[in-house]
Amino acid sequence: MIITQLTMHHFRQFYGTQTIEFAHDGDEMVTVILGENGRGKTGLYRAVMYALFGDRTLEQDAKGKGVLLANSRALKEDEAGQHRGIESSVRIRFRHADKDYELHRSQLSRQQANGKVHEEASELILIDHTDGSRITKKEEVERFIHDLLDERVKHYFFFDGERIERLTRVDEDQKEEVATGIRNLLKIDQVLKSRDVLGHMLKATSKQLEKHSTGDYKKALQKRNSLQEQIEEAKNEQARINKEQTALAVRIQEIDNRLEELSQVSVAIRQRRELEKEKEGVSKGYAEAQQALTALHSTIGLLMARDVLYEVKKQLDFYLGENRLEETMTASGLQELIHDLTCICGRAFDEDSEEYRRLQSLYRSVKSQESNQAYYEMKAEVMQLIGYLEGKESELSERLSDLKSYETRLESLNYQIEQLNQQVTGSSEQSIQELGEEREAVVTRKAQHEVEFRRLEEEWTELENELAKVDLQLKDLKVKSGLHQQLLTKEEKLKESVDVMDRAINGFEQDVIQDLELATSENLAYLLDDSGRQNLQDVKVEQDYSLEVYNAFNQPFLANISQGQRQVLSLSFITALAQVAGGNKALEMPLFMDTPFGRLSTDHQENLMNFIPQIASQWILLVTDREYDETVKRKFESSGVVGRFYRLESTEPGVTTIEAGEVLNHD
Amino acid sequence: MSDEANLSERLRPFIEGEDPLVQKMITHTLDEVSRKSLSVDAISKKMSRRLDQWMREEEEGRS
Amino acid sequence: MIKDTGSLRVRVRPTYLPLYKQLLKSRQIRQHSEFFTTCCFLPGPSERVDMGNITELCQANSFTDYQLTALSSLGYKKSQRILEPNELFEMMEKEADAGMTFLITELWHDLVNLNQDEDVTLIPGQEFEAQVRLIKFVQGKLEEVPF
Repeated sequence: MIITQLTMHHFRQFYGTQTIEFAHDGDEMVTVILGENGRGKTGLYRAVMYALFGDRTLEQDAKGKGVLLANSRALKEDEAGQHRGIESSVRIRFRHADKDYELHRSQLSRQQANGKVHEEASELILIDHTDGSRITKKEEVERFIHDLLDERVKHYFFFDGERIERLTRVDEDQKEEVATGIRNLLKIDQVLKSRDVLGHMLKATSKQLEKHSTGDYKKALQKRNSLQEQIEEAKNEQARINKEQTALAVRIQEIDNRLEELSQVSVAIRQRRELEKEKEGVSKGYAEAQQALTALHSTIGLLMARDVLYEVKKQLDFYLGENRLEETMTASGLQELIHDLTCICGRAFDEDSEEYRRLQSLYRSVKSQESNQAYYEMKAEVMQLIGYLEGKESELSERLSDLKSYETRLESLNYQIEQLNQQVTGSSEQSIQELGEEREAVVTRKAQHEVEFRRLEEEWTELENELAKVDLQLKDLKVKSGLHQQLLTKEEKLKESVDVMDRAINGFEQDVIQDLELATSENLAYLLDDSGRQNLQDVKVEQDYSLEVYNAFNQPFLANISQGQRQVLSLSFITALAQVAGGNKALEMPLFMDTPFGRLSTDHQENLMNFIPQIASQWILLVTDREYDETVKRKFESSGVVGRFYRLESTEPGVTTIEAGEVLNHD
Repeated sequence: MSDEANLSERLRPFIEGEDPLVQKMITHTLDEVSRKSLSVDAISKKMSRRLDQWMREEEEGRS
Repeated sequence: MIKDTGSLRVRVRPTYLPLYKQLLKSRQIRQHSEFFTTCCFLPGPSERVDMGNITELCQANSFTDYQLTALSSLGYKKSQRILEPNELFEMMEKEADAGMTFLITELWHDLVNLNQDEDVTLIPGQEFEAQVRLIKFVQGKLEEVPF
């Protein structure tokens, strides 16, 4: 399969209809698509996975978190307009076995009243443009795609940078799936199916033979068939046990991980207890600070009055002048003195004297002050209040900042407690015990299985010995019987075919694994930098297609290699698979990589850029500016392998346009 | 992916030197399996008939 | 100075009364006079509106000396003379009404409920938040004008 064109309509960030033409001819087989994070590189990756496999989520998405495939701007416009829903679609045009195909997958989506978006699969059509025929049945289209690329190994060809290195550390329970996928890719599955066909024929022939035989021969045949059945049963049972053993091993690992988490949890529980105790104290302080602040309310209004008070005091000062009230004298007292023509000191005076005039003036002033009594009182009260308010402002500030500091502490405590709650959720001391018990049970069962496995092995070995004897007996009897010669020959030939096939499969798979090992080692040596090459000498592909690397001292080294090296190892294996599956020519399959260089050193990146075009038939690269700067771009384009270059530009939030860029002319 | 017929070709080295009828049986089965996505049962029936025929032809050839 | 307020009543707009009661009930204030005084010193809308049929909040003799001093000062500032109790409280009722309008439309606009009868109350549970906001506002005002 070679992808020639990708067209998206209202899909993810791609508003309207947008198309990318992929480079695929001859030497210029690389398409580079440059986009910063958030511009939609992964959107393109999603589009391809959605069109081919109907994938709505990627492994990198948070678990249980749905990803909206429809373009949100189009959805909004529809909601504001006719609200009929919108169609989002992806079209992939590709070549396969000299035919030109188009795959179209679409969905309808509509914004609902509750704010959620309802998405519903719509069309899935495969068009063969060579003869104009179409397939519209979902199962048939899916089978066609499956034949193109087994879904179990799709990630070997369509992958994102984050995921590549994980290909070398597949979970135990996924291992078998992946191995099946790889066997499928390498066509080993078909060889295994052929062996099943031969085995099936042999069984049918044996049954037929048994039916047509008589006497001792029939008895011997029956015995043989029954022995064979028992052997098969024992072996099946063994295989079943083996599978269960793997599952049990996985479970033990899970329990151990969980227990490890829980031991961290018990630390978290203790921490939480301490924090909660602290919080109790702080909450009490907070409540007190609240109360203290509330108590200040009575002064708030008065504080607000402060500038009015100052102003009024000033006005009163002005109105009353600077004269001070003689506190010992009253106007009536002075009136008396004036009337008696007697001074304050007791000396007599007459009406023309200085004393008389002074007393008269004093009398007037005291009289006026007495009429201003209310104003004096008011001024006194105002001054008293001003005095009372002194220091109240700072008290208010202090209490407010007290409250604030309690609030901050509470907030921080609440946050810490919430974090711990999340750690602790769903676990308890009890579950530690339960897990411990389960672990013990699993370990016991595993040990029992081992015993059973060995017993079965002994059983079928014994049965096979017996079978060999019966086979000899049958040979003798057959000569005597002279019956059903043709059936006998057929059975013999089929038996031989099955044996040959078993040997051939074994040889074939070993051969393929050896090829994979050689190719992976070679690719790795090419891709690694100098120090890596010194450290990693050899790659071994195990029977389950998992990998191990060996260092210069021939010791297993996989656990010690860096993430970058792990990524390079994965890429070596992927490319090896492409080489081995493709036979003598490059595998007709695009390598579609989303941000593959992120963790690679410059050396590794350069090596990869030189290497992939040599072994793949199409390379589609989604890169960021950081991975693919001007220098890298010039260098890569001058090597003459880049056929197309695109840039993802964001025109408004959530909307990306694909802009074709110039590819450096290398001639 | 690789050529369909390639499979029996690639397996050939492992069955070389065996009984000719056995070789024929294996390669034809492989071809049949890789060409069509029929069930094991269906292919078995088909191949069984073919084997009967080959054996008859061999018998006739001998006599 | 007003020493003898007699049986003078202080009144507020009926729709504002529930808010006074709520603050008293939630212990954000100890006396209606406290909050009434505060309201008098809040910035009010420049256009005074008709308060309609106003209703009794409390007796004027429940005001403390300090509160009376503060209110009298405000009255003096506004009229340039010492007002009689009935004149003073009539004026202050309008001031308090304007201050309250400022609170519910500005400072507390997101904390209040307006029910169908247009009774104003704080959203239950927001009483303290309202208090803190008011205090912060006052603090800001105090810093604004240096003496």
